[in-house]
Amino acid sequence: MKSDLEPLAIAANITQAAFCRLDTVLLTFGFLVMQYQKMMDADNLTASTSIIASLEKRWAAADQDIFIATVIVNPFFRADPFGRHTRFVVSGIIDLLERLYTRFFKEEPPFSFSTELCNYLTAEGQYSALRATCIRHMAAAEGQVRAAFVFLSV
Amino acid sequence: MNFQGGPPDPLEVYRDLSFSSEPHSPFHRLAARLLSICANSATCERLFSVFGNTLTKLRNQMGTSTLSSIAELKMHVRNEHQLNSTKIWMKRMFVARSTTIPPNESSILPTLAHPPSPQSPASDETNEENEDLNHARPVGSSFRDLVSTHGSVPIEDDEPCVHSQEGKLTLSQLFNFGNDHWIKSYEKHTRKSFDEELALYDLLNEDAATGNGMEVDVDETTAEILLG
Repeated sequence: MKSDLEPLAIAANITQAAFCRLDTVLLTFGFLVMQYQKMMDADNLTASTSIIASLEKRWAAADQDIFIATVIVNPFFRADPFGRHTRFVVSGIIDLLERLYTRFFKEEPPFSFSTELCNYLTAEGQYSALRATCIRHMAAAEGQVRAAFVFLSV
Repeated sequence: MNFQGGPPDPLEVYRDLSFSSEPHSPFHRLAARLLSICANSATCERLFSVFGNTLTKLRNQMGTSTLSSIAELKMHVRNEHQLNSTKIWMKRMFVARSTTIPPNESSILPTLAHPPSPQSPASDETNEENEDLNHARPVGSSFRDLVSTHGSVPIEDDEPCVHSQEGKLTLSQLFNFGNDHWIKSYEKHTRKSFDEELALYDLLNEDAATGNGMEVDVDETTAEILLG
């Protein structure tokens, strides 16, 4: 019982926080599906299948583009969490974000947009320091700034 | 503001990687827009409950303008406390369990029941469009503007927009559960906030068990400060 409900309790906690971003919501969904897929033994089969079905139902009703795009623009994750689907090759991502740009700002994205996005996805050009910056912020959040500097200077 | 131990803020990474003197690049603009969307209505609901706590049985003659001014003031006081001394007096209250009543917001507010209200004279003009907004009028024109702007947003939302042509993916198709990098970094922070909450409950239970605990409305920010 505890193992069944705990992931849901954690998820409720995360999604009801004062600052809950869209990427957190999608990652929470993914994480829940993963956990319940692992619990497929005879005792838990019914519960797990219906929880997954319910999650999939909500997800199917959502505006998926925005959620996916928010995970991608989060530099700590980028496209890493997503599977090997043709939609997540670089050009697919550019297509997705350009569509959203038009939707949000009611204008066509400038030419520099796709170049910058490419640089971001591959951590090159103006984003060449992306990984190091992410590590620094992660470490700062952990309260281990010193350790990160040691790590980076190696 | 990022509390120590909280998840890192993605927008800070963008800030670090851009030139401070130049305007944001188009991609940075889109990222900022996407990452600042709040996915729940918890903050609004908390605001409503602030209203509920202010308009009590003993203070039920209050007008809307006073009520909203008090709520606004309450938020400012709360913010200032969070920035300055919350940690100290929260620790004092819970850890040392002093018997004196701490200077919390509710004890300050009644003395400031008449803050300057930015109220504009309510006009008598009625028009069909905002007929159902009339009850919100005395609060002030800025609030009314806010309401009407938000009222028109759903209509804009209904306008056809370009969706992905390739159809939708299911969650199990979408994610790569074999890559444990994201899973680990996600798990670390979620687990942490859950454990913190459990720790807070333990602390409150302990307080109740000793008999001299007082009822305090503790939200998660307070909990973070307390346990941080």
